Amino acid sequence: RSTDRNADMQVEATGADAVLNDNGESVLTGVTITQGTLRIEAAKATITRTAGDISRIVLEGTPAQLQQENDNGELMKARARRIDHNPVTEVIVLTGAVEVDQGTNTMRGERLTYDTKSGRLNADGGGGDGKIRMTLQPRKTTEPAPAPAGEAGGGR
Amino acid sequence: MNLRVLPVVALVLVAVASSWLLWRLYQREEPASLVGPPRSDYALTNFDLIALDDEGRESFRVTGPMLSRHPFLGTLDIEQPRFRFPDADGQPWNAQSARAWAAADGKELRLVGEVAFDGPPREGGGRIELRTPQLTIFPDAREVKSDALVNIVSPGATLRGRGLYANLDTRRFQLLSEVRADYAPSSRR
Repeated sequence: RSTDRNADMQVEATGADAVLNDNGESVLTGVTITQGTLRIEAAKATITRTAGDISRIVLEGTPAQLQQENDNGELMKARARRIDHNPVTEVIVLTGAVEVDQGTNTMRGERLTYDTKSGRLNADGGGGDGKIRMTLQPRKTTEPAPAPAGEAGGGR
Repeated sequence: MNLRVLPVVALVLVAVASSWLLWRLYQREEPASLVGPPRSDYALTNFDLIALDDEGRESFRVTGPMLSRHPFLGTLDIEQPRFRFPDADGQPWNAQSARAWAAADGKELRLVGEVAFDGPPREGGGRIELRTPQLTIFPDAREVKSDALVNIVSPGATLRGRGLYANLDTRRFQLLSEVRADYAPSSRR
């Protein structure tokens, strides 16, 4: 959610190597990060701070996992070997065995850019067979399905 | 052997045995000598000490109500010390604790008991504040380490963990396990 950015970011890790100044970088291992609806799990996280605020989070894992709700409350779950999350521009770049599930839709590929603000997904095949696989579930319609021809109008 | 000598020999034996017994008992009764910290060869009260490094620069300064020096080892035991350590830019890091031990060459200080270790104030306001029950400081190398739980508050980030290694000049803090961190966006500070 866009409000996530103003929430505190809580981190649990097995180790930390942090430079404590306004423009420092912290490398954490065995990481779980939560910030509002954002939840991250990774073997390694590199958190960069610029002028005291977090400007970039690079996650590595087999896979690294990230999930976040958008402002419509839809949950987006992403897995990849590398996730590069920019909380300022709210753009996430995923590379390496990328899998993204949003609601009932899924996307697979080697490289995917996800603008969490606009919800725009930009994918390219990258390595592997170069293909992107998407599964878009039909939107559930509200009207009832048309009744078979014989029964129309009866039974009132 | 003449029978009349036997009683004399017996008497001599009894005399020797009883005096040996008396000597043994006397040994046992002797009170154990007091085994305790040797008396310091000097003690200072309300002192102010400045230690210099090999190049004659201030390595650290310490004040406190009581300091005593070990007569053989040359180490110092300090009560309620207040330390000051200049970093590479000459900015002061301050430390205080319930007690401290200083190596004879001043290259290692062990602070024990409610250790508070604060960095110099920063331009943007705030500073690094470290709290732990035990901290070892290497003044000349400007490094600190601890095996205990450490809590570090700095502008925008709070870190906690067990086991620390840090360099004051680079502000690099390594926490070795059980790490919790909390980053607050500047918009909410």
